[in-house]
Amino acid sequence: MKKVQGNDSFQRINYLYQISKHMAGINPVLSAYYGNLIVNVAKKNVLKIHPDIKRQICKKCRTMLVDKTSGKMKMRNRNKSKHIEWTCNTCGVKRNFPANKGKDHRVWLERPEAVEEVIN
Amino acid sequence: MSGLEKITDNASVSVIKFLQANVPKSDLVNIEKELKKDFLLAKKKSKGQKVKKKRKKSRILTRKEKKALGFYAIPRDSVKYSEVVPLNQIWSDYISQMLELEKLGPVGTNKNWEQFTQTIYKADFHGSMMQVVRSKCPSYVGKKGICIMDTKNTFKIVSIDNLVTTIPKKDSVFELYVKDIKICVFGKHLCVRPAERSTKKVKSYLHPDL
Ligand SMILES: [Zn+2]
Repeated sequence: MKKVQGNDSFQRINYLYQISKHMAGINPVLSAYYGNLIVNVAKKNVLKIHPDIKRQICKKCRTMLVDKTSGKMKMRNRNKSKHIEWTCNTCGVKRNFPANKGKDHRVWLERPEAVEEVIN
Repeated sequence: MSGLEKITDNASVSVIKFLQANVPKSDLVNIEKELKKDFLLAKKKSKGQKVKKKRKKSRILTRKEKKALGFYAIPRDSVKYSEVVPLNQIWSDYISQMLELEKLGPVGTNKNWEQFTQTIYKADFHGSMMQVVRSKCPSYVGKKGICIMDTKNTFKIVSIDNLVTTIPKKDSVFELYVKDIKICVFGKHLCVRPAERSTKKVKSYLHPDL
């Protein structure tokens, strides 16, 4: 396996993400603690959190959002544009993601042309 | 403090008397007038400006709010052992991938031994099964459980009887269990905040004194 810079931190973030998600329904306090740690590890090592993970962390209290356990997902219409609204059950903060039918809302990292090299 | 108010109190009267005694005669008329001037920075002006600026809605939790949600205190009986067992399973997968345990030879023979110890100190300990082997405080010795929290100076572990115990790192020696391997770790060297530990440089030779 080729060495990647910051690989051990990525592994750590991955692991923390898993346990944070596991704890989300059981103990929101610990889930927030692990979520907070993900953000701090990424900050300390100057790494980017993958958007898939980042979108699941509550912006305010940093618990992992899972539908129907630690958060609520809802489709909403506002000004003719659809979006997904996430509500955190712990702190009650709301977050919106656009989701229109004809448009491409993927961020750069999710597009196929962003893949430079696959390391395994 | 309106300008038309008659000067009455003791101090003001004495000030005026002092001025009348010392000011040149040509200015005597102006004394009363000058004293009744309003200054820009006086109380009167600031009262009108006291309209509070609307504070922006904060995006992060403040310390008070966190405390209200109970983010700081983990009660002794709040975590069940059965809830954290899955953490331990994920952790053993994670740590064996980190340390590349399959390639590992017997103790001391491997060339990469130094790097192996470095990786241990950089790894994450949440979810690890640990036991206190030695400690300055004898009542901690023998405590065994799954680590759920890792702070600068303590580990919080959940033991099989569903109790959360806080153990100071500094004066203890821990044993970690990874599948069928035991790893001895000196808590003294782990006294770093968990987020910072991965960036911090560890000395290649660590004195294992206690
Ligand atoms: Zn939240």
